[in-house]
Amino acid sequence: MTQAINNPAHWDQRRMEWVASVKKLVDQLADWAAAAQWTVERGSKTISEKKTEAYEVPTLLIHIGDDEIRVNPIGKLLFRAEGRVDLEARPTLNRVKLIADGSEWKIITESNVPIRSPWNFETFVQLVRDLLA
Amino acid sequence: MHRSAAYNLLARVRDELEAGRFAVSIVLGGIDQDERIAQAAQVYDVTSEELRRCADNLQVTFVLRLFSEFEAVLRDYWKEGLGRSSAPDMRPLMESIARRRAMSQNDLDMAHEVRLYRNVIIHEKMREGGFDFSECKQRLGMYLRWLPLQWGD
Repeated sequence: MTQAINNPAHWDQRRMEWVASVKKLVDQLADWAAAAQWTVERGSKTISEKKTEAYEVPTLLIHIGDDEIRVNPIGKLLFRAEGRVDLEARPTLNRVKLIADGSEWKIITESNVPIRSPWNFETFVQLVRDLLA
Repeated sequence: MHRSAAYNLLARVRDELEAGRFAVSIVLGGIDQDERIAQAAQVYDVTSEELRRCADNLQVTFVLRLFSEFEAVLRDYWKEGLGRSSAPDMRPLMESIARRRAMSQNDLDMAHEVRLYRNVIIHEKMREGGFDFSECKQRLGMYLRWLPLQWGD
């Protein structure tokens, strides 16, 4: 186990899995946004974390009229989390954190209170409306 | 300045508040149980009582920081976006920008309430009973939505 943790290949593997799960999430959110008739802009950002080389991940900007939701991947190697992507609203600056939990995403508010709703289109649309309210 | 950069400034204050809350809660949680934290606190001459006060005041401290970033954005827009050389007080500054940008009265009023709360914190040392940080950032964010997407060079 210790050998695996100290092995750079171990972290490279975890990083690749993380980038793949972020890409899958961003694609899913882009599809859901399109279904809700919101426009999207795709982008990318570089993340630097300990134990692994800097790497690139996709980002997404969702336009809802004049308002925006920013899909902002934060990182994989986080305290008490297996990866985190933030959804941040503008102009309200409200934010929730999506915490990777296996193949699912848990929604956590800024006060660290979990929103116990299934991760699906309806939840996403409601979340966007609540973030902008 | 881009309006998105103005939002980034407010978002950074929010993130720093979260970092501060995390750090203070870890130290406060460990100071009576973890020998290393207790020793480090002694070295820095920090008491549990001071840490508790720090935790209690963290939110209002960051409301002041948030408002100061908001003020800096408005003053930048006043100078670089509108080409004005004067330095009005915050209330007339907010009013004047609101008039020029045809801002909704509601968004202006909500931001004024944060300004008044900031004044109360400063002048009356009020620490409880006002808006929380989240409410303040939301209200100031709603004001900023009326600024143009970009101004100045």
